[in-house]
Amino acid sequence: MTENLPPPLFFADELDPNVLGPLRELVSLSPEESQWQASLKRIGRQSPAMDLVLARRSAPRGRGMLAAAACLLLVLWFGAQTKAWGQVAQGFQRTAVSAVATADQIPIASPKKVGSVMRFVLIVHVFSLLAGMFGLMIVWMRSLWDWLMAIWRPTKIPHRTGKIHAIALYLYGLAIALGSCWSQVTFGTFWRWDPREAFALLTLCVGSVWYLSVDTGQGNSVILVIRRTVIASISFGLVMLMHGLAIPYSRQNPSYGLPSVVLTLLAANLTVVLTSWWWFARLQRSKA
Amino acid sequence: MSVLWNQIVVDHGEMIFRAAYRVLHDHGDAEDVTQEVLMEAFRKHQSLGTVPEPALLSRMATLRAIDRLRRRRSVLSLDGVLVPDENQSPQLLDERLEQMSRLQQALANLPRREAECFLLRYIEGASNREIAQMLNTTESAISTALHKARTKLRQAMELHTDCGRKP
Repeated sequence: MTENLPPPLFFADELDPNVLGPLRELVSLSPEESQWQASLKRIGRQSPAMDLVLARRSAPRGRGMLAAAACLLLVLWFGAQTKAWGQVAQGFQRTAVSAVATADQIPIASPKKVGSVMRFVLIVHVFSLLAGMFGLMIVWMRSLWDWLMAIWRPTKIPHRTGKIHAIALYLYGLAIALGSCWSQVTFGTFWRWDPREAFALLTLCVGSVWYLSVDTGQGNSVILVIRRTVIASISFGLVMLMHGLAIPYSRQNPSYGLPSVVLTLLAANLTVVLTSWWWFARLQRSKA
Repeated sequence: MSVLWNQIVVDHGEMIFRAAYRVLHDHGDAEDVTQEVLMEAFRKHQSLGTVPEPALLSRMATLRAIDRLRRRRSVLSLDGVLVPDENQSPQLLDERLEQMSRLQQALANLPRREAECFLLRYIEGASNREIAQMLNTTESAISTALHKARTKLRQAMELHTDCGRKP
C-alpha cells in the first residue's frame, strides 16, 4: 500500500503565495482508504470477462464491417437454404392479396411429439428469448433515463448498461440455438420450420455487430450517453422491426401478435434514434 | 484477459485514483476517471504489449480529471475534508476552506489548455518540454499558457483576499 503522505508540489517557487498555500492543501487531501478500495473493487468487477464485449473498446472499423458482411452473407445463405425468404415473400403476398391466409400455404412438416427433455428445451428457449428481449428493453429504457439525466445533471451520469446489453444478446443467441435444436427434433430441420427464426438471427447478428463495432465508451460525457442511447435503441428497435416484419404471420401464430404494441415501440425507437442523431450532430458541431 | 485486467487494477488503480482525487475531490468522479485511465492502459497493453509508465498514467488521470472538473457546473463542497488542529480556531478553518474552494473554482474556470499545463507542471512535475510533447505543441506556447494560468489564479485569489478585507 502507498503511504498516505501528501504529494509534493513541483516548481513551487514560481507560484504566488496566495495560490501556493491553498494549492498545497488541496493536493494534500487524500481519499478515504475504504472509499478507494471499494471503487477499485467495483472497477475490478467490471473486468472484461468477454473482453471484446465488456471492455467496449473501439474495434477497428474494418473489422466491424467485415463481421457485418460475413453475418449478412450467413443470414442470406440460411435464408436461401431454407427457403425462408420465399416464405417471407409468400407471407407478404398473402397479406397484400388477401387478409385471410391459411397455414396450409406454407409447406411446413407436421410436428412430431417430443420427449420431456425437448419440451424443457422449448420452455428454456421461450424464456431466454423473452428474457433477452426484456434485457434489450431494459437497456433501451435505461439509456433513455441516462439521456434525461444527461440533460438534467451532466456531472452525474450513470453508465452501467453495457453488461445487461451483452447478457441480453447472449440470451437471445441461446434462445435461437435452443429453438433450432427443438425444431430439429420436432420438424426434422433446423431452420425451415419458422422463417421468424431467421429474423431473430438477423436481429442478433446485426445487433451484435453494431454493438461490438461501435465504441460505447467508458466515460460519462453527454456524447457517449447519446451514442449509447442510439445503440440501445437500434438493438431493441431491431427486435421490434423484425417482429413487425413477422406480423403477417401473426394471423396464423398469435404468439407474434400485438402488432399495435410492436409498431408503437418501433415508432418510439425511430423517434429516439433520429432525435439522438440530431442532438449528437449538434453537439459535434458545437465542439468543433 | 480478466487476470491481466485485475493485475492492471491492482498495480495502478490506487495511484491513478489518488491522482484523479487530487484534482476532483469527489470519490464518484475519481472512480470514473480511474476506470477510463485503466481501460486506456488495458487497450495500450493489447495493442503495444506493455502498460504505459506509472508517471504517464498519472498524467493521463490528471488530464482527464481537469476535463471533468471543467465540466462540472458547480464546485463540490469541501466541508469536512479538513481535520481541524487543536489550536486552530473555527474561523481560521473556514478561511482555509474558503481559499481552497476559491482556488478549485478558479482552476475549473481556466481555459482547458492553461489548466492542463498548470496541473501537469505543478502537480505532476512535468517539464515544459514534456508538457509540449504530451499536448503536441511548442514549449513557448506552454510557457505562455503557464504564465496566463498563474496570472489568472493569482488575480482570482487576490480578488478574494481584497474582498474579504475589512475597510
